[in-house]
Amino acid sequence: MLMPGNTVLRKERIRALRLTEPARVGPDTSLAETIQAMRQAAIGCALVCDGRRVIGILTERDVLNKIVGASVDLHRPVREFMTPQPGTLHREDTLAMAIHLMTEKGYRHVPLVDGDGHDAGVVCAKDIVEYIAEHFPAEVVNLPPRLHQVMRKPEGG
Amino acid sequence: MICPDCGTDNLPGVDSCEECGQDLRSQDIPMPRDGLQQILLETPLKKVGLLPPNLVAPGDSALDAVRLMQKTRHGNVLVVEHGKLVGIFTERDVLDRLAGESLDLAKLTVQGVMTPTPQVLTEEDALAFAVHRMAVGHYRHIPIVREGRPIGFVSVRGVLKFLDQHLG
Repeated sequence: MLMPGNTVLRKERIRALRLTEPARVGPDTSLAETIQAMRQAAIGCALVCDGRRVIGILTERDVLNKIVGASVDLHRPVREFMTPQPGTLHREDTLAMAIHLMTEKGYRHVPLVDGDGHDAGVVCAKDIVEYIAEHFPAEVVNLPPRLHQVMRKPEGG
Repeated sequence: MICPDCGTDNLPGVDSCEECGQDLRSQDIPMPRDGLQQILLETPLKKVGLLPPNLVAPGDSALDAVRLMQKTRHGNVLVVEHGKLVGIFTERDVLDRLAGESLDLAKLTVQGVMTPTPQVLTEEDALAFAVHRMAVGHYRHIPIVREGRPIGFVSVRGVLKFLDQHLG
């Protein structure tokens, strides 16, 4: 079976990714403004920050589940709808760790913090998929699999 | 250049093994460099795990589509007409086109808010193709079709889950 060492994902660190700059809002920012910030940043989450600390996150899944189709007053503050105290990662953590956390918790966006626990951006599932795609040279993708199989006999033999 | 069949060390660039005559021309072709690349190339999407599709008709309301996504906890619906896939409507579309707007979702049709003729793959396509489509097109979900009929979808979460299970 396919169980070779996935060394790239276990060695490469989050800082090697091309990360997307998240939308950032304060806890008292309105839902309407938060949604607008997510659209403008073309990202599926907004970090809710108090100064340099991340105190919550609002994702597009929260918008789908809690806000759309649920007569919510969009002037209400984002802190009432955010996920508080989200799990975080560091830029020095490996891609394998990020993949594991995302899979275990069902997150697609994980806030990053520095050594002091301060806001250091966000890592998205999409950033990891893009890294994998770029890591993969086009000439390999364009070839059929199992090139390494060797015919023991000439054709028809 | 080592012959993969008999192990003889040949001069670099020769076409065939001087010992056993094995064709060595394919030895110059780039090979998958590590386990990750091999997994991506050799895993068909049906082994990654297709998720069951949320199916709606073009005339269904946007509210129905949103409710279906909320209920199934899958961030997309596939829009089907006469059994064929004609569009996709995702949670990103919800954020970009519906959230925060004063729209009556019960009166909007899915047809009016969907993305028509989405890119699709088949269950036999390799995981590498799905990864590339997701990276290039920024898609979170790719519909999987069999003769034009949607049989499921692969998600970016599903790809990461598969990689997590196969990290060794």
